[in-house]
Amino acid sequence: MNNMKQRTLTEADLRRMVEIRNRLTKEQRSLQLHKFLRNRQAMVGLVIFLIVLFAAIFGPSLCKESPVALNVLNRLKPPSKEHWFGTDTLGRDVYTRVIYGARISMIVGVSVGAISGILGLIIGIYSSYNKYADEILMRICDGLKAIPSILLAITLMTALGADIKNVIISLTVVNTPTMGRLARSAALVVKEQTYIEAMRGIGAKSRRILWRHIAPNIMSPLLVQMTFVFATSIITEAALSFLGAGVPAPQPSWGSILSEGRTVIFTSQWMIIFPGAITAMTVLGLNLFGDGLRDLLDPLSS
Amino acid sequence: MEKNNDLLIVENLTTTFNTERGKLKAVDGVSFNVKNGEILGIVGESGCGKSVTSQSIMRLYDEKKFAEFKGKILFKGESLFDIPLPKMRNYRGEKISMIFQDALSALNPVFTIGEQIREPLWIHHRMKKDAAKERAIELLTLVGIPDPSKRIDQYPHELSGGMRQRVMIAIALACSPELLIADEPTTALDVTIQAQIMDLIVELNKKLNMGVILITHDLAVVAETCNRVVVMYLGQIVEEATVTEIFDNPMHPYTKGLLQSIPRISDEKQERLFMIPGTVPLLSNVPHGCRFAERCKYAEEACRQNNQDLESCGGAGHKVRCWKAIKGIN
Amino acid sequence: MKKEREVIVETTNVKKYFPVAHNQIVKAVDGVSLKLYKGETYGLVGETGCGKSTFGRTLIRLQNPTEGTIKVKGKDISNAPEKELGDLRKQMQMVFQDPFTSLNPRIRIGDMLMEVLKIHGIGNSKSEKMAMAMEIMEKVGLRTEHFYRYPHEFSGGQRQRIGLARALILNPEIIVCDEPVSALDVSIQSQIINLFLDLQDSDDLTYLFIAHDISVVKYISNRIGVMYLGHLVEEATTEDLFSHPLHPYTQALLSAVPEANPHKSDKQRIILKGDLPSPIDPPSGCVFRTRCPYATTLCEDLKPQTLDIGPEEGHRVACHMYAEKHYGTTGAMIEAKGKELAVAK
Repeated sequence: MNNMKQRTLTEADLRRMVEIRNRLTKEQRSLQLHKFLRNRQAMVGLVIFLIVLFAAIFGPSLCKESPVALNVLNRLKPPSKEHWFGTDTLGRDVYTRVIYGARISMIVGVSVGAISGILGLIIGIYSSYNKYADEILMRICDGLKAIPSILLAITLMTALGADIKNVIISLTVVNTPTMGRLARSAALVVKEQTYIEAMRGIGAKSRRILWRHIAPNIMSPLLVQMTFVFATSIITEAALSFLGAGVPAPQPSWGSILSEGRTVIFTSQWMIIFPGAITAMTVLGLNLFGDGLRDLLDPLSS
Repeated sequence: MEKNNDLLIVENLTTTFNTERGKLKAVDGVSFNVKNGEILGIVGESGCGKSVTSQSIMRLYDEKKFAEFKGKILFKGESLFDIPLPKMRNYRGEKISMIFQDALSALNPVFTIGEQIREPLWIHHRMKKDAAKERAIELLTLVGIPDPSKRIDQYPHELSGGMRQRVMIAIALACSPELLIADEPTTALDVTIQAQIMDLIVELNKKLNMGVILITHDLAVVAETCNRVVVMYLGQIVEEATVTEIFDNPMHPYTKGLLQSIPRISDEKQERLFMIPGTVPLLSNVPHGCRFAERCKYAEEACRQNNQDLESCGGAGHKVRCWKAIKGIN
Repeated sequence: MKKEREVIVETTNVKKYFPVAHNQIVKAVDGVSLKLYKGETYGLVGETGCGKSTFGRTLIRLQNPTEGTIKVKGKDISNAPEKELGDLRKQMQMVFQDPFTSLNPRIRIGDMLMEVLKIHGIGNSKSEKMAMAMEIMEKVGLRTEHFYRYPHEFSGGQRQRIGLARALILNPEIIVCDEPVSALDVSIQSQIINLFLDLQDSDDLTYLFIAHDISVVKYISNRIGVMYLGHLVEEATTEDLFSHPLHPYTQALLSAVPEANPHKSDKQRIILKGDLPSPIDPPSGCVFRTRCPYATTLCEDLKPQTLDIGPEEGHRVACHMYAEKHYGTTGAMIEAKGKELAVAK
C-alpha cells in the first residue's frame, strides 16, 4: 500500500467533491436553520430585533414629520390618528422621535457589541496564551471592572463630551473587560482540549493554533455575550441620555425622550410608556435571541 | 425456576424516551429475572440499553415528560410500576441500591464519608447519630477500608479511586438492600483495584445473600463474577444463559462475535482479531427484522424480514434470539 | 535477529517533573530509559498516575523533558527548540485516547487533513493535497464522502480512524498511541486494533502503545514495559513477560487481569496492600517497597538498578531480589553500586 502510486485528482473528481461539499453545506445549514426555527423564544427575539432594526434603517421614510420639528400649539397631545404615540412638551411627534431614537440605539448597540467583542477576543486569546500579557491585561480589566459601569460611563462622557461617538467609546471601555474575561476563560478551556494538543503535535505554530483553532471555538459564548452587551448598551445609552450625559439634544434618543417625559409623568404618560416599552421590548428581544444563538452555535448538539 | 425464588422479575419492559427527534425506544421488550443471592450480568456495548434497563427498575427517569415505561417489574412479587412514585423512594436505597461508574462525582465533596453513609440510615430508618456512626464503621469494615474510625471523618477527595468506590458500596449497603445494581462499577478503575472491587462484590453477595445485577461491557469481568448473563443489543436481549454456557456454547452471532473479538490474556496470539463489521445502528434508525442482521455474517433475507423472539434453546435456561441458532443451522 | 534491529528511538533517564502548589514537585516520570526498535510495537502498561501518558507526550516533545535525553534516529531532540521540531513531527505522531475531544469540532475532517499538509508544506496545489488527504482516508477505512463532514457526525470508532489518518498523513515512522482503543466499544475496538496492525504491516510503523488494558497490550505488542510511579520497573518481550513476570508489581498486575474464561476464574490473585503513594513524595529507595510483599530494609535504602537478567535476553527488571542473583551477594551489589557512584562523581 505504501508504494501505491500517488493518485491525482481529475477535473471530474474535483467537480464531484465540490458537489459533495455544496450538498453537505446545504444540508448542515438547513439542519441548523430548522433547529433555530423550532426555537420559538429565539424566533420571537429575532423578529422583535429585526423590526427595531428595520425601523432604525428606514426610519426617515416611515415618518412624515421631522423628529425635531417643533409645534408648540400641539404640545402634550395624547395618542391620536396623526400622532400615534402623542406629542411631547415641545409638540414634537413622539412616534417619530422613538423611530429616530431607534437609530441611535441600534448604532450604539451594534458598535459597542462588535467593538468590545473583537477587543475582548483579542485580549482573551492573548492572555490565555501568554502569562505576562495575561497578568497585565487582566489587571487592567480588573481595574476597570472595579468601578461601577454607569459611573465609569458618566465620567468618561464628562471627560469626552456629549456625542454619539463618545457614547460608543465610553460604553466600549465599560464592556470590553467583561468580554475579555469571558474570552479568556473560554480560551483556557479550549486550550486544554486534546485537539489543540494534537495540532501542536502536528507542528502547527502558535498563531495558527490561536486564531484558527482556539478563536472559532470560543466564538459562540462571545457572540451570545455580544447580544447581551448590545442590549445593556441600549439601556446604558438610554440611562446616559436620561441623565443628560448621552446623545446631545435635540437629537432624539430613547433615554432623552424618557427624561423629558419624566416631568409630565402624571399627566402625559404616553411620553414614558411608548419609548419605555419599546426599549424594554428591544432588550428582551435581544436577550431571547442571544439565548437561542447559544443553542444554535453549539456544533455538538445538532 | 420456582417463582418464589425470584427476587426480581422483569417482564417485557419497554422504556421509551420523548426526545427532540421523536420517541426513542431505548429498551424494547426486555424480560429477565434475578434470583435470590445470584449475580446476573447484563452485557452489551454503549447504546444497547443496559443502563436504561437498570435505571428503569429504579424508576429514575422523569415519567411525566421524558420517559414512558411499559411492561412489568416485580420485586419480591410486588409490581414496582404500580406503586406511587413518592413511595418508590422507600425502595431506592433501602431495598434496591445502586452503585455507579464514577465514584468521585457520585459522592458529595462537601460532606465527610461518614455523613454520607449515615444519610440513607437516617432517611430510611431515622437512625440516631451514635448508632448510625457505629453502623457506618461496621460498613466501612465490611467493604475492607482500613482504619474506618479515622476514615469516617475524611472527605471524598482525600481517598483514592478504589477507596471511593468502596465507600459508594458501603453507602449502597447501608440499609442492607436485597438487590444491588452495579452499573459499570469498575470501568473507571485500574485493574488491580478492579480485581479487588469485583472480589468484594462477590464476597458481599455470598455473605449477605443479596441479588446483584452487574452491568458491564467487559466480558472478562462477567466471566469472573457472574452466575448468569444477559447479552443485550440495541435495546433487546439477544441471549441469556449461565456464564459457563455463554462462554462455552455461545449461540447468537453477536455473542459469538463479541467473544471472539476480545483479545484474551491466556490465548495464543492470532494473526488478526475477529471483527464484527459496521457499528451499532442508532436508536432512531432501528433496522427492520433482526436488529443484528446487517452486521451478521450469517444473515439471510428471512432475518431481515422478521425479528425472532427470545426462545429457549438447549437446556438450563439458555435462551437466544436467532432462528438459525434455534434450528441449529449455524 | 534482535541485534540487527535498528534502534529508532532511545531515551536515557528521561524525567518530567511538574511544579504544583506550595512549591512541591510532582515527579510524573522519574528516569525512564528504553529503546524502540524499528517496526516493533512497544506496549507501555501501568495504572493511572504511573506516568505512561506523560512519558509518551514527552517523547514526542509535546512537553519538554526536565532531564534526560531522547534520541530519534540517533539525533538528540530532547532540547531542540520548537522551531527545529518540524522534522521530528513528520517522523513521530500521536494518536490520542478520547476520540471526542481530539478533533476540532468546527473543522471538516478533509480540511483538517489538508491543513496538516499545509503546515508542513507538502503538496503543491490544493488538488494535490486533496488527493493525498483522500488517499489517507481510504487507507484508514473512511470513504471520500466523509471528506466534508464535521467530527460530530462520526461515531467513536470512525473518529479514531480520523485521528489515525491525521497522524499518518505525514508518513511518520513512529506513532505514539495513548490509550487509542480504551474509549471504544468491544466490537469497534477489534476493528481499530486490526487497523493498527494492518497499517504497521503496510507502512513499517513503530508503535509505542500506551494502554492500561493488559489483554489488548499483550495482543498488539512485541515488547512490553511496565511502569509504576514514574519508573520503568520491568521490560521484556511479550511472551517472556507473561510467562516469567519478575517484578513483584508486574506479578500483581498480571494476576489482577480478569480472564474471559469462566473455567479459569479460580486463579490466585496477588492483592497489593495500601494505595499508590503520591508522586509528590515518592518512597525512598524502591518506589514499590511500600506495597511490596517482599520488601526489605535494603529496598528502603537503595534504589534498585534496572538490570538485564531475565531468562531470555532483553528482560530488564528493577528489583533487588534479582540484583542479588546478578551480583552474587548483596554486599557485592552495594560495592558495585558504590563504584558506579564513584565513577559518576
